[in-house]
Amino acid sequence: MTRDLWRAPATIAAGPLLIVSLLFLSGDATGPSFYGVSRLAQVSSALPIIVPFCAGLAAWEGARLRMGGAFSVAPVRSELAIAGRALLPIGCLALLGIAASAAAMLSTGPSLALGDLRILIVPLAAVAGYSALAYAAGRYLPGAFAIPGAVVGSWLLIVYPVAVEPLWIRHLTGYLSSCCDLSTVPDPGAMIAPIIVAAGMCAAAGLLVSPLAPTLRIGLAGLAVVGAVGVATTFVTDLGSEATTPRNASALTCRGDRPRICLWPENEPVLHTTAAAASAIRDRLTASGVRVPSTVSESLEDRGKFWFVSLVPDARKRDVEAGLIMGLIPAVPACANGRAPYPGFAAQAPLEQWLAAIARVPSGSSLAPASRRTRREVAAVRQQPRAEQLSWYRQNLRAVSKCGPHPRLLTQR
Amino acid sequence: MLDPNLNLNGVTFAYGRGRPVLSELTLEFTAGATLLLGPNGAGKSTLLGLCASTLSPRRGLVAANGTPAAGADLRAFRSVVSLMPQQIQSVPGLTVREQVAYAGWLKGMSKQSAWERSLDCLSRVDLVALADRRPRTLSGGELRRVGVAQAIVHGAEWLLLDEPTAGLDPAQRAHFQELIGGLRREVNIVISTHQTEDIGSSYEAVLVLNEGRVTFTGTTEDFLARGDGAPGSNELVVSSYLRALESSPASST
Amino acid sequence: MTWWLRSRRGPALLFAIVAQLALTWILGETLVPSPSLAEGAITRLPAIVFLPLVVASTIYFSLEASGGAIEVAGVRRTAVMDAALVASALATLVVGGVVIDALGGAFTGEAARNTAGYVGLGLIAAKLLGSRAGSVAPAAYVVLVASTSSRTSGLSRLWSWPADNPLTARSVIVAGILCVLGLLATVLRDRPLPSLARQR
Repeated sequence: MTRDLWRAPATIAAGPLLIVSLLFLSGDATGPSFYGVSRLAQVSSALPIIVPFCAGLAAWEGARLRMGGAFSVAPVRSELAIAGRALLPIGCLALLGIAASAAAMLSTGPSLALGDLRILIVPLAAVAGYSALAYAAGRYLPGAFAIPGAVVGSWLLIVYPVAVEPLWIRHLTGYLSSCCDLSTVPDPGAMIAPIIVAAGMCAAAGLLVSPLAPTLRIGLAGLAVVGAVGVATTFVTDLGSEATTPRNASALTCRGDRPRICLWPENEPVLHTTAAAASAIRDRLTASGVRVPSTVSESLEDRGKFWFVSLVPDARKRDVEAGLIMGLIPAVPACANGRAPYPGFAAQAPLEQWLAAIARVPSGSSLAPASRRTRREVAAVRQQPRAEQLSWYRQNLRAVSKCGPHPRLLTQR
Repeated sequence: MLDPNLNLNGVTFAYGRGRPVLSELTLEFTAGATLLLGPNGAGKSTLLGLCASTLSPRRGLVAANGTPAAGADLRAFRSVVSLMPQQIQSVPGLTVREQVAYAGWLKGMSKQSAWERSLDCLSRVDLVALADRRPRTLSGGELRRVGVAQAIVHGAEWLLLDEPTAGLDPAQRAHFQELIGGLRREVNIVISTHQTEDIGSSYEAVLVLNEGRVTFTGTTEDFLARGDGAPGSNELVVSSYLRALESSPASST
Repeated sequence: MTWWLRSRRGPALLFAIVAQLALTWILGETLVPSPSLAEGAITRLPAIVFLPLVVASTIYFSLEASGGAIEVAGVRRTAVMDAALVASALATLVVGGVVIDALGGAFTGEAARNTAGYVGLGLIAAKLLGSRAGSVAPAAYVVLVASTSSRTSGLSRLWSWPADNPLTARSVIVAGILCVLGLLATVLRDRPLPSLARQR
């Protein structure tokens, strides 16, 4: 068995695969480097390299067994056992490729829980599914077609869905590279769906090499793939372009009181800075009549209920202050993503600048520079009596949080 | 006119970078039928491949009737030598008769004459009934007979047959011996085998190859005289064969 | 000659040529998203980078029947005929492309260029690395080009000639050189080389 592994084509391919995968990932990583879940999800970015490699090798093995007449000698071992032995080096290659990619992604030293490693099941399942089908193709088709077909076909099936609509199709491939910022995790459906598709592909491959009649084999295999895709689809049809879901709020680390600060464990280094800034900002805004929640939270689930903030572990004081100010503005409503009219958008920048001015957040903060129009608006509002300012604030806050209402802007009549 | 001969002069051959299969081999096949014996791995197929010019020696020269198997004379050489290899490939898209005719066309025959001759050759190997079948549907023994037909279709002067009786049943083997008996009046034949029961009076000479070296070369009578056992018995043949394997290598013919 | 052509699956090759011309006409302008190593983002490559694998693979499939003992020991130079078959297939592709261009199609020149280059690459790989490598090499090269392409800079690289669109002199020369070298490798098969023993 050891000798088989050393002499297998997959062993020769291991070196180039590792080099190309790691080069690929070095330029492709997105998302916070300190967030283990995000870094592990990025491993799926290497799928366009690993899958064609492994699928091509699997087709090669299938063709090799067919040409060698392995199945014309009435073997005692079952077809699956023979296939398993042939595909073992490729399985090892896939594991090596995924493990090396994960190691490269985790080299930044992000926080990681053991349970987060289950994300790697998704790319492994994808490789297994494509390799199984490629092996079956090599068993029955001429090598001249099976091998290049497996290489290019698998590659196209991985990358092309990213560009088509509906958007949820891309979540069937196992490509999780849109995941994640600190407040999100991969959507469970986006992890389950590619595993189901891969299981269907493996079942189809098993049926194709079974001793059933050819028509029955092909029909059942087709059903297996279509059925698996159909079932998997039910898990992803509600997802948009990003397959993420809010991170569970139970993971938050909370300290202090009024304001109570709840941050993700990765942001514990900025807990004190955030507490000090939040306390100061809250005091000033409350004194000016602006209602501010007493709990600061990074959880997207809590947005709307608490004072939302989104930070990074190396945030400076001005970044924290800007984040706290921006967190007081409601999120863009979902109806605006569906292209419904959203006039309240015009009030977002003026609201941020007004709050920053009331909270006396210094001008060197990390808020986006205000346009001349915004500065004019804020200057005009600040000249109003306090009651008028608060009325302006509440009206625009409502406009920003819904799709219908028009904002109240003094300088735009 | 010189007597026909097929000779190798100082030929060395190795597969890839491996150990040489044949090293500085010099020998000559003379007119008539020669039996090439040897155990598996002795180099018989390699020797026949060199004689047919499907393999090219690292060193040395192969020539048939004075025509070398190299350079500008290669095509002339190939037109007088015909090989039936150990593995008969079925050519996709062709029937049995077409494959035999194709072999003749490859040897320079015209399409018309190759087509006409193919049926004659198939009848000699008793395969006329299968002429319109696809070669891949034939049994192993039937495919070997196709290989024989391919080898004799263009009427080469030298016929090299590699394990021609492998897979043939006893009746077919007897029929093959009759075929050889008829052919040796027309062409010079070298037959490679390790089936000792093939040895009979059909052959003028015997050459025994072992580990790339000639361990015996001579007439069939001389070969059989080395053995124990009653004349005509297989025991005699086998013991002659084994003694030939044991003897010191002959450096020249 | 008929037997030789049938052993090379001539009808299948003709079908592949027609199919590729049709696909080029229909899908030639389609852009395929491709994650690029060079840019760390998704680029888009025209489908004509991938479609020529249809004819390239079929040519390789056709030539799988070649090189048997009866051909190697034969007088007829089947290796030269095989090279002529490949050249004829590529010429047919070019002529068909001209016809399609006249009917309003596009990218047929790029498709022919890529087919020539892929075929040459496969034949060279088969000669150097064995017959199986010949079927893998073009597909692996396509994936490599697709993964390393850069469209934003506007500059093409020597190795990304399949993605050069429209036709550039450099890409045609590179593909042409590969094709010629591949045909030469096929012709040299006619000579009984020791390497032939490995393949058999």
